[in-house]
Amino acid sequence: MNDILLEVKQLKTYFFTEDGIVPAVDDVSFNIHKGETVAIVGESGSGKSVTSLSIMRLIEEPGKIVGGEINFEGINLNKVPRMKMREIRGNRIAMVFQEPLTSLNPVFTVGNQLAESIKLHQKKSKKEAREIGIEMLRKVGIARPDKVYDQYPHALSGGMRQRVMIAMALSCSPKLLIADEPTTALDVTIQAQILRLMRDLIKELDTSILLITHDLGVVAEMADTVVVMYGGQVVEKADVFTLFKEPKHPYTKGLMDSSPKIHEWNEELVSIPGTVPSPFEFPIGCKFADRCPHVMNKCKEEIPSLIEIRKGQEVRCWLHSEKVVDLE
Amino acid sequence: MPDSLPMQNNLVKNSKWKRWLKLLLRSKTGTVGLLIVLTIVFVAIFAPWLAPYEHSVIDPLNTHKPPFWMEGGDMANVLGTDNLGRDILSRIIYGSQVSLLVGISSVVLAGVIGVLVGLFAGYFGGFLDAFFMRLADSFLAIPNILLALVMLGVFGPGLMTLILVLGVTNWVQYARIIRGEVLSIKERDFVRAAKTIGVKNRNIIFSHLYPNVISSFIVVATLSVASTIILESSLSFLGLGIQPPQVSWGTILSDGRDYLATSWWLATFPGLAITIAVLGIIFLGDWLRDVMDPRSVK
Amino acid sequence: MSQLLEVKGLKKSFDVTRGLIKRKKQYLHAVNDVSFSVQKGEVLGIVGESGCGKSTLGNLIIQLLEPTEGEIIFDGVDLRKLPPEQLRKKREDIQMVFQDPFSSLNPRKRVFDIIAEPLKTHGSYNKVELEHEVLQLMDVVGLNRSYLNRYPHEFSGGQRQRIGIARAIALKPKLIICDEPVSALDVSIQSQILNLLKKLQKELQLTYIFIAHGLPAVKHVSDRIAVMYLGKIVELTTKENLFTNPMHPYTEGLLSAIPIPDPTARKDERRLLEGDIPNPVNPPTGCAFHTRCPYKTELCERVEPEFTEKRDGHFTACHHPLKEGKGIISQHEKY
Repeated sequence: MNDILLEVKQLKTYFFTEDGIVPAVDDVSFNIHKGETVAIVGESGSGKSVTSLSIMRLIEEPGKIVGGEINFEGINLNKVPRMKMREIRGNRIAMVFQEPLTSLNPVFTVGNQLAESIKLHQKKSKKEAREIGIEMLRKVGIARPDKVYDQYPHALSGGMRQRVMIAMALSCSPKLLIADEPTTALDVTIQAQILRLMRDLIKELDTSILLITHDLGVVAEMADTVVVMYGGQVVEKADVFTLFKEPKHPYTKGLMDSSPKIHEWNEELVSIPGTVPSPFEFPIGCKFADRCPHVMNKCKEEIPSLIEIRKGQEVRCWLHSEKVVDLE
Repeated sequence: MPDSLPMQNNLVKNSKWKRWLKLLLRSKTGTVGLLIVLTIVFVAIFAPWLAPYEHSVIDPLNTHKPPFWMEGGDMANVLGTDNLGRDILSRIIYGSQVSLLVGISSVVLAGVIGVLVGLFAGYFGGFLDAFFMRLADSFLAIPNILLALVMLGVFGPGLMTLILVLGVTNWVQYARIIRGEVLSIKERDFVRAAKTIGVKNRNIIFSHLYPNVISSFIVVATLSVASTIILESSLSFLGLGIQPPQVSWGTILSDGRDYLATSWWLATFPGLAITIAVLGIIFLGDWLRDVMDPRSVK
Repeated sequence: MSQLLEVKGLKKSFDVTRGLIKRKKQYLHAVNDVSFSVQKGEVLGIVGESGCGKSTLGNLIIQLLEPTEGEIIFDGVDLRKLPPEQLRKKREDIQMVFQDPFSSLNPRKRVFDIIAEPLKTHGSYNKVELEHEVLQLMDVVGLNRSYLNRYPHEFSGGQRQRIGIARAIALKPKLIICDEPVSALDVSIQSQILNLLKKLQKELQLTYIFIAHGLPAVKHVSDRIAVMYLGKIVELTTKENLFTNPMHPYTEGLLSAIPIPDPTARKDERRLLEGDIPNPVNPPTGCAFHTRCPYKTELCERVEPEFTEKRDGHFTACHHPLKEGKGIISQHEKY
């Protein structure tokens, strides 16, 4: 396929803290095609958010991108000058965050903030920006958009704010939307609305999405391709149907087993033993070794590499280092 | 397992000291601050042995003698003498006693009042809170120095009155800070958990709130030891503080002000002593705040 | 089974009047006329979205908040009528597990002090006994004994929640209120804590009121589930009934909104609840849910439905309860 929009190649983002170096993102590679939704799944400390911030070049001290390439529409974002990056941000790549209240400025009206990005990136007049802004609000399913346009963020509910955030993000028809836990702070019924909205909008606008989440339910609803991260590394990568049907990495399996199955009766929840280690306490070999039910001696000594075990499914696990081995 | 308890406790105590030491060595300013403060305390305690002369011995034949490195100065009076021929070094050494005493005890006094008021007013709220906070507001409405002046005027100057006056006028800032902290901490779940357990209010205040607010007190208190030393100096400067023959850094400074043009050393050295002491205390306070947080180092 | 807790007509309003000039009193009825009972050894799940009053309800039962009206009869006595000192003593029978394990542990206290505090408050132990008790509690909740003298900041969220659970069960309380105990935790840790809570409930014969914002968490542990919407319970029944035969349209909406971790079951066709949760200060007239209800009639806008038993042990407040089989689990599936 040649329609690759974003190519992340061997990305490494390290944090140089007082207590030592934290490889928050360690050799992460994946592609996003035009119109595709890629989900990065992982728990806290997996490096999923740092990955997205690295793409946006929003990593701050003491963090630093120490290696790899981020190619977006053929440009290496890692080498782009700051000014140019600012232009790409918001215009070509937009971002939606988890907490819509903190990402909206409380002292400006919704319209103010919406118009600002439209004026900035599309060079429109104030009046035109207002029209476009109201149109965007209507598109994200806000009733009475002309009224909401002049309201302050605190007057809106959480779901409305997230709709406004999405309207802002999509107002410049970006090619890529990075959504970092966009529905985590919302109630279930509102989450369902927002997810449906995002799905409808990207179809209409032909936008690709990089969805960062911890919720496998959201992944199953939204994603085309799934990247599972653990300890700063990609442990499994596959299209959504393959992944849910035949997860290969023990961590992926563990995640799936431990999420409550709402549509069937089950008594005991299977859980992954232990906790995610602190950044300095990861095992030397496979990062998942000390929580893995299938751990072997080899796992503790050497990090497995990400291997394509079949077309479109890659796994980083010694159990699958030879293609013929089957887990069961 | 229970048998191992005493040993474990020992270990904890040991590692606590190690933690402090580790933190001290890590922070350069902390080390400097601690050294300065220790030096001043040492000097104050051993003043009679350290000072070359009595602080109030007058020598009319030997006035306005400059420090030793200047023309006319010698090692007999290292920092020179004042307008009455008193040895400035000796006066500064003795002066450290009063300055430190006033600085620390008035802050402790103000702190005890302020912390208690802050804890109780913040925790219980309601009438108690309203009463003390309005009282605090009215204290704030009057400039501290003016209040101190009036009270000193009424009660008459002197060391004890000075400490009392400075203590009573300064409780407000602690009360307000502590109350503010308490208001936020009492909404935290661990305080609510203590309530659901049925812990008595008094215990909630002293075992849950107090340890969590005391570090902010320490920081403000160290800063205000410094400012109290300066305030004491100002009051003494105005003649309402320490009365001769007692000597503090403030009185030396005020004695020297008339001779700034001719004999600059009279006022400069006590001023320098104040500056160094204040800096030392501030450094120390900054470091203490780090140490008192268990999160800083294992 | 005998009854442990009965809540009758419980109400809590907060004064939310704003501004100095336009002093029209405004109240937020966070909990509005709620009644239910809990049997000994039962787990009652309480579910609802933000603003439904579920956490306020928990705080009222455990007496962290003073009710405006109503009775809370626990173990035969009305907690509201107890004098303060007796209430303080009674507290050993009701404990709470908090949502945020970072705020629920005092950062200046060691694990030992945290778990020992309830024991010290209500019992008299010498040092050795106290340590023995605390270590046993740590075993029970799966904490390594060597953590005894550590501070909370040295632990992950899941471990902190274990410390909080140890503190809650230390006094062998008759009732534990779990206020969203897993919603701040990572997925893989959530199931650990849920399993632990369930295990403890079975082994120690505990009674839980388990509050959560979503059905997935309560489904695993609850026997019965109450669904709340804008300060009221709209449906209360057994877990099995709720998932197979929900009667209230809001329950149906909650169920269908849960994203299912199976990409082959994407719910493009599924009916989702429209609209936002109304402002609880100005709730809609009649049935509070009518603004979002797909089945509403003119009656719903006018008359508030009563909370009554529609089928055996199945309570709901709806003028037009759903037919059987509207759940997401089919009746024929075994449970």
